[in-house]
Amino acid sequence: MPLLSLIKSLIAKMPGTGDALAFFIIQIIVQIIMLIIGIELAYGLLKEKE
Amino acid sequence: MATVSPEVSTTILIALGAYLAIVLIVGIVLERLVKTLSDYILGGRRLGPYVIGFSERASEMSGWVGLGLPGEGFSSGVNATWNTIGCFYADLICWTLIAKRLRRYTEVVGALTIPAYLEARFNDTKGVLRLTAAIIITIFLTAYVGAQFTASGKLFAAIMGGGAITTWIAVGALIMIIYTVLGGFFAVCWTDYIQGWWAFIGLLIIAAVGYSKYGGIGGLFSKMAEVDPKLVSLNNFWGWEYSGVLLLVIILSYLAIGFGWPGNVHIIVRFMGIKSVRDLKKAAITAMLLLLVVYYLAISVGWFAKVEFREAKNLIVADPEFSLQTLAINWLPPVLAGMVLAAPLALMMSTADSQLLVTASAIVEDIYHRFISREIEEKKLVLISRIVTFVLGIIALIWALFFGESVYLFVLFAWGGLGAAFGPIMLMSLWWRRLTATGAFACMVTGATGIIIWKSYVKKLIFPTVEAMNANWWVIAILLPIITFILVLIGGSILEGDLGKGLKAATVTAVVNAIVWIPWCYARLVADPKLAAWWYELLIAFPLAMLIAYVVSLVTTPLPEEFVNKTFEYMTKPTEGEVREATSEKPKTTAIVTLRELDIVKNFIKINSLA
Repeated sequence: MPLLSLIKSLIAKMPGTGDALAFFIIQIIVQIIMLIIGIELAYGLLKEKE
Repeated sequence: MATVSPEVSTTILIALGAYLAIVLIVGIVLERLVKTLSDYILGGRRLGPYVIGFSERASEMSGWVGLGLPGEGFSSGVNATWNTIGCFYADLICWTLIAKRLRRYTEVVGALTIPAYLEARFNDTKGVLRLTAAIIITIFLTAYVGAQFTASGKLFAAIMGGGAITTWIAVGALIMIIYTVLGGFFAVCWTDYIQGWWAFIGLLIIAAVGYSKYGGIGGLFSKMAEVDPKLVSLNNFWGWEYSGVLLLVIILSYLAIGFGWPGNVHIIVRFMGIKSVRDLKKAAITAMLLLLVVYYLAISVGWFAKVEFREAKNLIVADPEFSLQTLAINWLPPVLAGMVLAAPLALMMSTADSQLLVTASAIVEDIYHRFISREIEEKKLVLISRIVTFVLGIIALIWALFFGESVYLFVLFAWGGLGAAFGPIMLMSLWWRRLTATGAFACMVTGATGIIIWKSYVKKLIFPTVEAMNANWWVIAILLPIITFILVLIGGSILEGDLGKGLKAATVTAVVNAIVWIPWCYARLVADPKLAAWWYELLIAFPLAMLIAYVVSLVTTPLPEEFVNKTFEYMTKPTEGEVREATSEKPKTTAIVTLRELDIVKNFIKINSLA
């Protein structure tokens, strides 16, 4: 998983931050994904439905 | 004690004056657009997606974003982001599950307010739901407006050195009242748009300086770990380490703040004012992205302040909530600092104006127009709305000036009370066909009463000492079943048109409330009283109100099937306007407005005649 590797490399570069940086980055990524899914399901993000 | 230099004070005054002048001009300019009551309380459903997106956000954010979130970031470090998580998913649910159906349905039936929507949705010809909803809104939101005035006055008095709280409250409040009275929903939304941008840019300026200073997010986190390891601990809240059940309770309570979203009517009424259903997608993306950016930037401000100043005593008024103000004064030239310092006031005004307008709408449209004078002319209705808006604003101002502290007591109830009273109904009425009028009524009174009782108890308004609270826990446990029994007996009997059915609904409400509420009170107040204050009341009140709506609906008379089919058809099928837009037919303003108005009337009659 390239995303996971990216997050792990970010954490490795920042000693002392524990899981906090991963928690912060992952929550933002998940929120963006959920926003795309939510808007797609409700309104059709990629194409006009109606 | 003056807390800022005279040069910065003058610049803040100029920035504040410029800001107040801009919003006042907006109100004066938009006054000419207000011709009907629909224009005044819903902008004639003519506002575009970006204005509505910003307005929805600005109506919610208030001083919470400019003061509260930086304070949380300062004290709780990375765990302050739990606020964002709870609020993000709650707002996403509103935009995806409520906005589209509510916008379509309220246009078809011609409902201008949430109480009017409830009346039409449940074919409540007696107006019980509408009146109850309007009363709940009026009580909670008037106090809320007063609290925004008090908070903004205190904020500026603290920064400028105190002594002039009343002046600050009065000036800000009067300008807000004037532009709301003149421009109604148009002015509220457009000033929200300006206020949203103002806050966004203010936070962006501070964040740009902060992140470049500390080397981006990674550098900032390393610095935070160096200054105080708790800031990057996932167990830290407000400087204390928690684990196990207590940690879970705190996280769940943070997430439960989101339960307030669907029920806070001054936010969701924005969905009804958008020009077109097709614009909702753009508005939703605008609002959600704005939420993410503003919330994370506001929390980052607290992190910067912690790294920069270490201790709260080093902030301008020794309070973590003044992180933004301290950084602005220390990092920025006076002109930019003045702009940033006006941002929290902008956020408070943008919330207060929305609440003021929704309250005035409830009184004029849902009480006066519905129950007292149904045949009144539009012009007179607009005039009455303006007078009511002005009088309510002045009442809130007097309340804030003379009884500022007591206003806060009401605000403690407001977010949760509105969330528990209206949130479950809004979601269920748009998605569950079997929900009945009595079920909705029982839900509304359970949510509002539960929050008031719990908050009064935990805040020691009923029993002033912990010992008295523990010894008398049963009083609080039986209050909710008793009060809801009485209210549902009255409301349910009128709605069902039968005392026996009302008694059945009231009994079911009281029994379900007792089954859930008594063990909850025992567990929270006797078995583990230390945890009581940590449980956010919406965590219990929202699911309980939803459960009551479900159970009571199952034992009361369902709405006629044909009526329900028609209702859900109006919610889910594209309106004529949408079809016309999809086929790219250009609107022919006057004729189409007339046709649409006729359609609304016809549809409304059709719906009511089906039942």
